[in-house]
Amino acid sequence: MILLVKVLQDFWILSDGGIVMYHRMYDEKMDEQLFGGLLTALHSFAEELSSEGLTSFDMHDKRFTMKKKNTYLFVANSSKRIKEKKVMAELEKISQKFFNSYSEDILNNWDGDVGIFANFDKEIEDSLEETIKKFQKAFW
Amino acid sequence: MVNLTFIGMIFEAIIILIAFILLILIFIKYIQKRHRLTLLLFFIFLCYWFAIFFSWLSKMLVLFSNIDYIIDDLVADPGTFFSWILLRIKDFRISFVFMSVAIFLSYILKVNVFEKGYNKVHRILVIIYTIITAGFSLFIYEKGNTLLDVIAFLFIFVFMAMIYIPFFIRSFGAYKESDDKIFKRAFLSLALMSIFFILIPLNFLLDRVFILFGDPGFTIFYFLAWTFALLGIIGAYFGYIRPRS
Repeated sequence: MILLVKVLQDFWILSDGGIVMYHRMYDEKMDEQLFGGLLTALHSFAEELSSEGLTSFDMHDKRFTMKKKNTYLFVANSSKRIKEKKVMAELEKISQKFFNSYSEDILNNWDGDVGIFANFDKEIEDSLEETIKKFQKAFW
Repeated sequence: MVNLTFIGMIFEAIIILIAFILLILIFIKYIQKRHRLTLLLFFIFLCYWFAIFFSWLSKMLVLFSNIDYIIDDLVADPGTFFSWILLRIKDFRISFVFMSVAIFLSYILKVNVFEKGYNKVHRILVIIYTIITAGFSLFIYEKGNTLLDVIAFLFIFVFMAMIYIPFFIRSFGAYKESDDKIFKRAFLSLALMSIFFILIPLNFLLDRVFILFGDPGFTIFYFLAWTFALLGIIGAYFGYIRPRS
């Protein structure tokens, strides 16, 4: 079960060039491509200082967590109350789903059209949320 | 000497009454929700209720019917249609048929609430197992043959575990992942309900095994089984009926 809603709030997948390939934001206050570029720049800068790069940073009550996998950057924000380890585990699950859904061939030959990743929503649909909805409709 | 069949009959009568209350509450829920899954839940518990009812009827037949082939294992089955039915009621085979249907419907409910769709192989296996269990209960029967009864109980126990272990895993997973207090309590109740439901046929099976080895029956496992039935009903109430979202 992936808990995008419960554990992660907003979520981005970035290419190594800083393009936001997929994003899910509940409150879109900023341009996602601009934000993606900033995150990539931050991560690249941190990589210069430390081999692991930037794994997380805090902003008021939110924590941004990053996981780099196969040159792609998976970023999510979550409440500071949620342990970073748990967020990392969710990011790992999501990255696995992403690479299962889009083959190496598709990703290597990607022409920059983010539209092909639009269906990723279905892959990361929150099963718990769905289950609760079903229980509410039928019993609660 | 205390008549254990009589105590069993009283114990089961109490369970029937409590299960009936739950059944009414589920029906009221269906009237409110008008949802097919609520109706499905109603049919599941209706089948369980009939299973308990026929088990109780079995005790009533032994205690009050005065039919020789029912009260005495040494009297041969007269081979009539009436005796065919009565002997299967007496040895819980009719209860097993209702339980098989209830477990099959529970599988449908589990898929509908926890899964995104049916796994074709699982569905075929569950249908085949339902037919085998119900068929065995009805047709593979010999008066006084406790070994066949033990096998029938084993079939039911395996079937219950097959469906309710995944149900437990899903409910417990949802309990752990949910943040909301109401949802957490409801999912935990359903997880406990699943465990109690599995323990019912397991304890009946153990009781039957004791009978197979010469015990007169109504061992501690018999009473534990009905206690777990009661706990399962309470779990179902807190899992399905009580939560208000």
